[in-house]
Amino acid sequence: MKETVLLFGPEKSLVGVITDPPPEARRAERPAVVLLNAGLLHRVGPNRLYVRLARRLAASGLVVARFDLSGVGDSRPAGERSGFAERAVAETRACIDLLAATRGARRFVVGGLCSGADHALLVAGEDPRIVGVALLEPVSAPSTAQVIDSYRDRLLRPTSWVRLLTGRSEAWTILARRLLARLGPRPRGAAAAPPPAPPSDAGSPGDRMRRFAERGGALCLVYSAGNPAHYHYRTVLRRQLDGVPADRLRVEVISGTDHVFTPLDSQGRLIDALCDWARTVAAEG
Amino acid sequence: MRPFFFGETAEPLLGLHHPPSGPRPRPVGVAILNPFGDEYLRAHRSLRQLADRLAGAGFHVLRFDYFGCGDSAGGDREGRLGRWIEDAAVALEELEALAGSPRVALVGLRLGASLAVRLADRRPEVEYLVLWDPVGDGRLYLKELDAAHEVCLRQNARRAAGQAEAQPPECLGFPLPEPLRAEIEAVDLSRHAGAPAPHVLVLTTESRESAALFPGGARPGGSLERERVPGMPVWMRGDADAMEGTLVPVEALERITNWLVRQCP
Repeated sequence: MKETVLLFGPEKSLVGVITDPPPEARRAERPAVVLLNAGLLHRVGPNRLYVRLARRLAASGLVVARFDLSGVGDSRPAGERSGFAERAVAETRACIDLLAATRGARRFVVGGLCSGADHALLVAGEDPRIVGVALLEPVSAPSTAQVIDSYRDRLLRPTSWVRLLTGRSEAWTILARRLLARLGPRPRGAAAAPPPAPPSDAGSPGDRMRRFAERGGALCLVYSAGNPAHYHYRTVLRRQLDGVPADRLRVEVISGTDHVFTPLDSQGRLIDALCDWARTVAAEG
Repeated sequence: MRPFFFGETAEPLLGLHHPPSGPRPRPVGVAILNPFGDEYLRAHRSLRQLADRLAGAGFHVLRFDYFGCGDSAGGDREGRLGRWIEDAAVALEELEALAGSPRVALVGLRLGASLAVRLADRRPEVEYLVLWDPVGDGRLYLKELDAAHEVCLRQNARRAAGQAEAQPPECLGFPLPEPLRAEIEAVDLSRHAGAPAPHVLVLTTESRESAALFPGGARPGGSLERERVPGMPVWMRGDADAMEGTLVPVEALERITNWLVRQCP
């Protein structure tokens, strides 16, 4: 196994690490894997998860790239003005182009945790070279029930109530900000610029997953049991994905862990599940 | 900024070189020594911005990952304090070559500050030392880590009863094997009566034992300053969410930059 660190992208400003399998395990027809930033955590991933995962996948013969999006980790902020999701898609495709040019890869798997999962799904809708997406704890628009679910722990904690009653809770800041936004002057004309347009493959995450599976893509969804993303899967996504063939969709639910898979045994289970799924995708060649 | 691997070919370490971007290059290189584990991830953004500020002020800056950490070679269970000090010594040689100057400053955060003191003991070319919330007492530090990990396990165990038992030695997502634990336990900066380098800044963002470090004061002709910066320690896991690493303690970064600029005109 060999690791290379490099700057790539149109401005040579994106920091990436490519993990190559040992020469005897390398097969050009196998898909290459790209891992996308989890929120603002840099390319090593939460708890160094992406490094461990990349090395395990490389040991089984897959080339893996991890990189920082513009303004995240060690990559320079982008000079141009564009939406974050739009840029994430373009930069992920730049990473795919790099692996195609330098490693001869023709098929790709993209994946990530949290916002990394959302970006992976967006780019999968735009790039036909992507044959698999690994979505770990994908973010979703929270429903009221989800918000209550996610705040359950805090509501049961006496310190939360003390903070609320003594005015030190963030709830007050949020409330004040909302009130000010309502009472304050409303932007008019040119000042009220519309938010940047989302990437062309709009629609709900469930729609995008379904379309991806319909064109033959393989999906792997991994959840931390009882977390908001899992709740969204159980209450919304599962129904939307009804009818997707079992060989196109794998769902793993890992218990006793959190959103970033902190306990080591849960990281082990997560990596085992992803490597097993990646092997089946690689075998589809 | 230029990323590269350095050190032994079989076990390369990740380095990130921030060359001087300001109008006046300074003849001193600055090496930044990371904290450990969960604190490393949370502090990454702040230390990257610190490096940018220092480069903007004319310094060559080198950040790097220790063996078994970040992007460097090595499994998570292979990291040892003794090895990390050797890594830092190799990083110093890289920095001296990059800066074209044998004069160096070390900036260490938390456990990185403790390593910086150990390195300064060995390397007289370390003229300037910034210790940011240093871990002065290894036993106390481990107690805090264990307590934070316990809270994390309890929260997770609530979601799946009976799962958080018989864990291997670990702390907040990172292995903490017994040999490393023993090395951390032995960290005791109170053994240093006087300042460990000619010019030392001890910066604290929370009141800990670091205020009492080096009671013997500065070396003859040197300086020892202590500064307190109010605000949330960026490396610490709070009760809000997993993403406190997005916060950057601008005031602390300014103080460190200004101090080094004053010291190295």
